[in-house]
Amino acid sequence: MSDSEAEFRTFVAARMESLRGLAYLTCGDWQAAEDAVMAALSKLYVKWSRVENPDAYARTAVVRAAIDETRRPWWRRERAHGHAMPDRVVPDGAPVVDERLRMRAALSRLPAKQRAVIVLRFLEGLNVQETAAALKCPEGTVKAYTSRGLDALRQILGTELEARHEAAF
Amino acid sequence: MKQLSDLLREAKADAPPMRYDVGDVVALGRRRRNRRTATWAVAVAVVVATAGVALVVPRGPAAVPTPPVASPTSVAPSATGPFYNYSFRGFTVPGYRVTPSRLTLDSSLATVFKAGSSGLEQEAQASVEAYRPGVEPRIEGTVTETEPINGHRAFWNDDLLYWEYAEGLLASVGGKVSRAELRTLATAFVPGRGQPSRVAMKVGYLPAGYRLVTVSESFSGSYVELVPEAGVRTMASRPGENLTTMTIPGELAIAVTIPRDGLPNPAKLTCADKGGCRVAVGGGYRLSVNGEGMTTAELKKIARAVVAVTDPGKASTWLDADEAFPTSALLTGIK
Repeated sequence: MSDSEAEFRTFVAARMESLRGLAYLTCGDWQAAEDAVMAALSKLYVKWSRVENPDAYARTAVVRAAIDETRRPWWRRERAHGHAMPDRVVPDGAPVVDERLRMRAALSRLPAKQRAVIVLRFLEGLNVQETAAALKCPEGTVKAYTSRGLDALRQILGTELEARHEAAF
Repeated sequence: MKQLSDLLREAKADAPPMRYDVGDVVALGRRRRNRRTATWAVAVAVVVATAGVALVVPRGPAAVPTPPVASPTSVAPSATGPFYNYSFRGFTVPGYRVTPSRLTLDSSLATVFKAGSSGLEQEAQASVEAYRPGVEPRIEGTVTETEPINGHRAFWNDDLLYWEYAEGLLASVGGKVSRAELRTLATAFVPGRGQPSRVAMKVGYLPAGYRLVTVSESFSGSYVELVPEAGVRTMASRPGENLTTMTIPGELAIAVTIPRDGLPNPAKLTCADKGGCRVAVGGGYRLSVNGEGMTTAELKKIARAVVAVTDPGKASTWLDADEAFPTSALLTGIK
């Protein structure tokens, strides 16, 4: 095994799980999220020696692959009849689980790209410029999606929501 | 007060076990690198041909990724009547039945089921997609030439089989079945004489400027998407990107489907802020209306003006899409 491949393996072992979570929050389906991660990381493998910031590359590639997953014909057809993320909160008595389900249900109501903006900004901590670069869209779009996404989440979840980076735009 | 970042972290907790590990990623990466090396010359041809057509002919004949590049004839799809007809009929091959099921600005798509299956979504084996004139499907990654299909060029792009079903027009087939079976499906495909797409509803009111861009029909029911006129222009100017309504502001979706999501199926029209409107209709189906950025009052007005067919489970009672919507919602041309 070359040094380069060993480096890549270490990187994947360390980041695969968190990248899957990022993809899941973007596309709303664990299986599709894994497919997105596989596609993105296998591309990174080919470019490994030429990529300056593997973490940023992987994050961007995974989110974009996850958005693509939501556009596949089968996926879209299935979306018409219900989201993979639960749309209904079924209280099970455990507050943490309820909160998890509520958040998933709330995210599932946002359009995929808006969801990606929210996840990149508030989970990954990217600023407007970095998010725009990751999604290859104008900064104005990121600002608008952030605003609309937060507004929607607040309305769905209630007002008890604080977004640390909100003032940043 | 909860931090959004904490809630997001919590939302991705409780993940199922991973199906893949580091070794799988490396193996896929190696295959990707090997394919890339082996088909480098072909890949270059794809980039050049695709870029050329995209720049010169925004809505011309589809770019088949090989020279010579298709001539830059302007083919703006006429959308009156036939626009809402599928571009091909359903067909059968040994062991499979192919049924047109989704029509968009870009393509007609059919679902492939095993012969004798009930047609449930989860029983789908593959899908066949025929792109409209001028639509250039997004093809990324490596392209591997294969034996022509019905005398026309064909190639593999990962696990999708593309072929030219008419001069400058592409179709693709992909799914869970073997490559040999995908090839059989492609060979049996005959373009033309498609039936009108059909819906299980009649829509009496829509906000001004909304146009019908997606019609989807399946065992589960009927689903349509509409977008504002500006959105249609955006989608038409970027054919092949599957923009559909995911990235178009103001999407309106109307569905008459069997509820499978565990949500209530209320006897009376029920509208929730940001949650759309729902009401039970005949045969255990549910009408749902969702509109991005629309007020609850507007959604309610739309929902009240939708009449579902008496029994959505009987496909014979469905209406042709271009009869079920106000004329103003039908596309009359894309410039």
